Amino acid sequence: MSWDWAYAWQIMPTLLRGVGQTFLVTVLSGTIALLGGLLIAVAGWTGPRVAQVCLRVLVEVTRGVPILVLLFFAFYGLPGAGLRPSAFLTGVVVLGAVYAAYCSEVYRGGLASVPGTTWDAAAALGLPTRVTWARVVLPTVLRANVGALANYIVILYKQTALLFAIGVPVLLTNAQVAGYESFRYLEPFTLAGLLYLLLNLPSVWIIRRVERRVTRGGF
Amino acid sequence: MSTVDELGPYLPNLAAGLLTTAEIAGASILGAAAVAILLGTLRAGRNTPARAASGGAVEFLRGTSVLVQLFWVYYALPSIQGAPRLPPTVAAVLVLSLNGGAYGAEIVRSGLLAVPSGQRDACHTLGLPRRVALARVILPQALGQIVPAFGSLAVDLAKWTSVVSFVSVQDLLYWGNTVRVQTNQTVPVYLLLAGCYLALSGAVALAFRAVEYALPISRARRRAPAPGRPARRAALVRQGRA
Amino acid sequence: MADSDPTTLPPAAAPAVKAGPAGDRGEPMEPAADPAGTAGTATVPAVEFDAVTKRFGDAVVLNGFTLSVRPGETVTLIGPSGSGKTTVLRLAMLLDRPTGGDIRIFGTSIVYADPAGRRPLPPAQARRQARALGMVFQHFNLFPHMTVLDNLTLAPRSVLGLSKSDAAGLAREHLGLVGLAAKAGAYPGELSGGQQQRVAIARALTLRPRILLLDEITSALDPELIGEVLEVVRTLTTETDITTLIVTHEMRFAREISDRVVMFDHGEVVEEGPPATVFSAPRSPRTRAFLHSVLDY
Repeated sequence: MSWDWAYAWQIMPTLLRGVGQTFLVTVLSGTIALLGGLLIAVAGWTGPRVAQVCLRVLVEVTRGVPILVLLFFAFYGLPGAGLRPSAFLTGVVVLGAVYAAYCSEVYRGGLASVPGTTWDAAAALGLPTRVTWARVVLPTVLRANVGALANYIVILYKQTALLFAIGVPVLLTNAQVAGYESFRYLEPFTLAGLLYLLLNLPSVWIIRRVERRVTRGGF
Repeated sequence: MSTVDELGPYLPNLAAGLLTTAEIAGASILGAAAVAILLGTLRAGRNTPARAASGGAVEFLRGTSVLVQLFWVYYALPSIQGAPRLPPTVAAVLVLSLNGGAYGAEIVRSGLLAVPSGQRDACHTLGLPRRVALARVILPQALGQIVPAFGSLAVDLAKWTSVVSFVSVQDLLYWGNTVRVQTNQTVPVYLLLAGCYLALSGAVALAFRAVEYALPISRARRRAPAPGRPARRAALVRQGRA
Repeated sequence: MADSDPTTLPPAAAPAVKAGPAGDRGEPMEPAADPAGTAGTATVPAVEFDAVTKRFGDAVVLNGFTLSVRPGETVTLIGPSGSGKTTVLRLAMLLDRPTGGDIRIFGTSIVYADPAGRRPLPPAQARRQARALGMVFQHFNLFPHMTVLDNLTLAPRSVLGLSKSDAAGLAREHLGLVGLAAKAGAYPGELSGGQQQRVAIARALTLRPRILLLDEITSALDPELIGEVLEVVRTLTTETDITTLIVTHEMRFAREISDRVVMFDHGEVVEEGPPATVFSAPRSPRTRAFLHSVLDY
């Protein structure tokens, strides 16, 4: 069997639709991951010991169990509890939660690296807690860890392919469906692979640019 | 019927699945280590075209997820004239080794570059051949940083094996899904699965901790006193000046 | 202080070619003439730097540096930091290549393949020439993951092809010479700085180099540990015919053991001569200024 350009051209629209879904999932899950991770880290930092322990357990579990297992667990298990979210919603939330756990570790490290002198200075100036966090500590932590966080978003983008398992029409799903219907797998999977790859390359470059701009403040 | 009664008959299947997962994980970790050492040493070496080529290979392999690569190797590759039709397990280990090796290459490279340049100077002044310097001096020290980081990667590899269930490999996830369909015991089955994967991750982490402990550089570090004041005082005492 | 009492090194097989006073050479930057007293044959210099230039990008670190070291001579380079002294040693050891000029070890160039100086010497050949040299570093550079004994046997086994037991015997002999025979089984991390540096010297000596380069070997040591290292070097220079090129800040020591002192600044030789002359009656104002700024002088 050799490459069939006509067929490749024919399936491009559906593949591109898959790209759109992939992008959408990445943005939504990424937002959950970045914000959720921050909340987890701050809660762990400032909350009571019980909360800290619970959160650490949650983080360890999400890091030790494959994403596929968590996806199936949520997708097939939630209806038993009376909830029936769509596959899309389930996928976005699970992916977001898993990477929130990874991001929380990055934030945690970042918070631990804030020198004690910074906290002391803020207290000496009489800054209220909310201001200390919002205007002093968090900007420092975010600036120092943009690279690591962006790296996880890029990984998240690649892992969106897993949502194929619960039927979310991401790029891989559409490629698989096209191949299944026509019994020609070469073109769909090769094109899908190339599309994933092409979208991945500029992200590395963008991350480096963002890192440079954000750390220009002198770190 | 209680959960235990429902699941009971399937436990042998799940155990077999766990064994398959463990075997694939083990093979992939070893394969990834080999690929990582090969690509990593090229990346950290002095040969510029080799550095660029291995860099390109690493970026290519890290550019798509394991699932995409696995599907391509298993479904698309056989369509090409003359290309091999790999059995699913082989395809899985191949893809996992290459992908893990690409991430591992960065770990190896960082570890090699972290060895102080003075060590290379010393090897040069002693006239040690390049291969001896790398194998007996540089790499053993680099391993002190590489092994813990690779252990982290290995734990991830153990989780990635779950994708092989999609190419009809009867691993733990495959059997978990099958059992769920047969018995409808969704929550217990996936809790059991989660527990098994956690245990596997833990075992891998422990294994690498053990390897780290056995490294020559770790043994040397354990024998050295803590840096700072105590060592200085000890030196003074030894010389009878304190 | 039993372990820091180095025993005397064995006398050299051939009579030591000890350089007499370098003569009253008035001008700096002249290659050393044969001292009066040696029979008419010209001795090939052990190390010869011939108008060596070294540039790192735009920075000129060495500017037409010329120096000739006789076999068995002990030459010390002194001068302010950043004057290029360490670079001189690194170039001799082939850790770097000069931008211009030539370096000759016992008459053979380690930079060029032909006498006209047009074709660069292939690295493998250059490495073979450099086997006559050994070097000891400021930060010891011992192999931390190996015991002291393994540190010393690695090179004899892989470079000289000695068997494990022969190499071990050689290693223990050299450890004995620096007074650390008891520490053969220890790891570098368990030793003090002075002990580590003495091990480093022993390690360099196992390959029996004819020329030894010592790059600020006491600069990283706590003051109370410097003495034991200098003692080893003193014994080495007085009791063997090894040619020694030293970069150091220890002025008193330089005065004691050197045959010749070379004052270095901004990549060139400012002044050279016997220690008595350079330290007590320096000719150049730059030398005077430097010596005054060195507090322990």
